[in-house]
Amino acid sequence: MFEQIKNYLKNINSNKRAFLFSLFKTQSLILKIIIITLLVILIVPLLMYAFPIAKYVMIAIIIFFIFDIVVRSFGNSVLTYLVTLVLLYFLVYKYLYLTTGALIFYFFLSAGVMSVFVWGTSKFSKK
Amino acid sequence: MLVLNLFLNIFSDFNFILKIFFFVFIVGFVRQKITHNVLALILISLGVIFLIFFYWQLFSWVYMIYILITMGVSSIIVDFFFVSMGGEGPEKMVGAEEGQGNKAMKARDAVHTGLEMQQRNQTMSRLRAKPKPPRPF
Repeated sequence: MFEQIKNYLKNINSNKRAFLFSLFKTQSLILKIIIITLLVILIVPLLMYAFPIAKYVMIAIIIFFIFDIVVRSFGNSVLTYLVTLVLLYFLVYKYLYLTTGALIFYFFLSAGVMSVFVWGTSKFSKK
Repeated sequence: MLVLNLFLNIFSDFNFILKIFFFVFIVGFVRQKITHNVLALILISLGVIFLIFFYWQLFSWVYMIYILITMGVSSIIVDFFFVSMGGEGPEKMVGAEEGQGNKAMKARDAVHTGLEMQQRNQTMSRLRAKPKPPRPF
């Protein structure tokens, strides 16, 4: 996959690259922030797609995250495991990549990284 | 059609996931406030029946907004407002040529400032001219 991306970037000529860059530059600030955020969030699902070990690590993180949320409400009971299993079926088995994106977005928000994207994008887009 | 079906499937699945999270939230909230088991069970069942089965159309949105606010989306909005106050630069907003917009912006600002000052002076002079009413006993 990385080879394909590398080849695509190699084949793309400077005119096209300049066109893409100018297309990005002409967008409004909010669109630029959304594009940058999406690109950064998409890095982790792409890594998961490329390296299976990253996928397993992310699955473990999601399992711990969901179990922590559920056990805080239900305590240590059968219902905890039941609800966790139902959620894990949907979030890990069915929509792993979507869940990963949402979780990364949540981590970014809770760590305050989103402010960096907002301020950084506005600062560098003015130059 | 296939894409629409896929989208609808994802939407219905996430609706179900949201319902489960809301159920977990109600249970946690009630059990945190009320330690009496029977009363807590009654309140949880009432909450689930009314909020999830009867008024889910409304409370799904309320819960979504609650999740987003607790996640800290409001900080992004605040950041964006701070950032957008600076703007994209006047030359990009008004004129296509370099510096043309800047001049136009400055001229417009000067006119606005002049008008505002004139209005303020008029108001001040009117206020000064008005006699003070007598103080009541």
